[in-house]
Amino acid sequence: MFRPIYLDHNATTPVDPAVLEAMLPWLGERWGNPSSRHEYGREARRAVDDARQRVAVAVGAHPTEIVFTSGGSEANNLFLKGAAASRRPGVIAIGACEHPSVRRAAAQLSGQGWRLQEIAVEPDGQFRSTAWKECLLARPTLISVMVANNETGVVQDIAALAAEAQSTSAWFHTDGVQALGKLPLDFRTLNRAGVHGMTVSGHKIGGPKGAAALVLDKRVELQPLVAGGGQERDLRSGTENVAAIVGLGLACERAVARIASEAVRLSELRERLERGLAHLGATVFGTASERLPNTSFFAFSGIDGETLVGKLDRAGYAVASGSACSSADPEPSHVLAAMGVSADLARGAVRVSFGRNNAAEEIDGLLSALGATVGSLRGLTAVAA
Amino acid sequence: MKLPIYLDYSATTPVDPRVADKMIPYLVEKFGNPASRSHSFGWEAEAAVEEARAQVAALVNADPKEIVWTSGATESNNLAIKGAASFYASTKGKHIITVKTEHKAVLDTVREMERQGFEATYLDVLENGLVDLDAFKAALGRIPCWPR
Repeated sequence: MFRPIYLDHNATTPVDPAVLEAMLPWLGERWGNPSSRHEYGREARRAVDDARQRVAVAVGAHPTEIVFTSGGSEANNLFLKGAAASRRPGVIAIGACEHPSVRRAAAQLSGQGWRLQEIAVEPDGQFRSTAWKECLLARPTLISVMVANNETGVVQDIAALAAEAQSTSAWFHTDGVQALGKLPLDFRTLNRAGVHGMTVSGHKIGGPKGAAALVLDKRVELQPLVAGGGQERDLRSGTENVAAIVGLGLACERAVARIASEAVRLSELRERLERGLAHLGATVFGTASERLPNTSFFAFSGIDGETLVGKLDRAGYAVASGSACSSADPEPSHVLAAMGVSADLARGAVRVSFGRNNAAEEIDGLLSALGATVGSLRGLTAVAA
Repeated sequence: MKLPIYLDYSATTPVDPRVADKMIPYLVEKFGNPASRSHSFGWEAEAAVEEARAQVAALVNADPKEIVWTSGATESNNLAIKGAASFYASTKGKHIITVKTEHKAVLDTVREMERQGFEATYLDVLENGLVDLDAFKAALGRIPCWPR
């Protein structure tokens, strides 16, 4: 069967073969419930503990700071709603470019007595220090700002932002889902700077869907979202998804071990792509900032992004328009709107995100498909005009 | 005979090999995000999710639209109880009825709703473990406007 070339790794990634191999026994001859006291249960408990250790090492945390969840969205919701339920309602401040799982959770809280404050970004996708200081003057109780943006790949200096926020009594959360495995993430350093919680997930880095973690400073007391058997230090009840957690642990370990070499390889691929994009006349977003090495978000003026990605798919290249989670949403990207990009240009936005298996000739192929498609769409527009 | 023999199927069960065979392709070559709308990796994953939804619906004689995926039964119990209780608190009152023999996922959820201002009735069971229908009716009588 014909398979398009996959260039949408910020949406999800294939499971790394070594990760699959580690998971298979837990879908086969080892099936115990980690809460069972017999040997079947005990071996499952050891597997979960071993995965917890691997995740902790990969993100620079202590194993007791890892709370497994079903995904990044749940981990984001757990921190924000869990913290909100254990503090008196006040101001919740989030970045203007956050993932929908942070935006929607914060919006729900704003209906429950919390005042929602969005922190504006500059055209480069970063907070200006005046906007940040202004946000802190409102004495927020909760702050959530992502490490790296899923659409643009723009990276924020979370340690510096958190250090400034220490003057408030805010609990500081950061969504590290897109940064994990692409940039070094060290929770201990972030925690010393004032970060209390960090979300990481497996399926963006060669792990399976269905397992993620909230890395949590134990001084922070969250109300659990899910009550029951008391798993995960009572913060997240429910029988552990052992196979997926085992996969998450190994995926973290492997992705973090190859960060340095992958960062060089991926940024070379991106440079190759963006040299070609410049030649074709595209606008690339967020280039004035440090970005994830694998992510390029761009638009051709006057060309609809949905149409373009549809044609690219038929030409054999799987890319995204906006973020996967909001692809059903006809509104242009809230991230680009926050960066001051016009709605017209934002409707053209296309995201390319590379992964493990992509190679230079695929980038060249994508560029020639883009050239041909953009050329023919421009031709149509000219005729219609 | 190899020991220990597993006799704890109410705790959890091994994955049926046919189930594992069906799952594995979706970890490897069919790995798309069902929310990806712009390419076939996403469509293929979405189709698989919808096929599974129809299978679950058929098993429990429900409409596929009535199936909401969660990460586990504990989350489902929490979602049903907290979701409905919060949604209807202002229109249908704040009284929850449950049974003392329920799973912890239900009992702890109801306890939490009590801390949030809901009233709860924990019904005793008869010696045979079944709900005492008279006690249940009496408790129902205290819910003012639930449609009957």
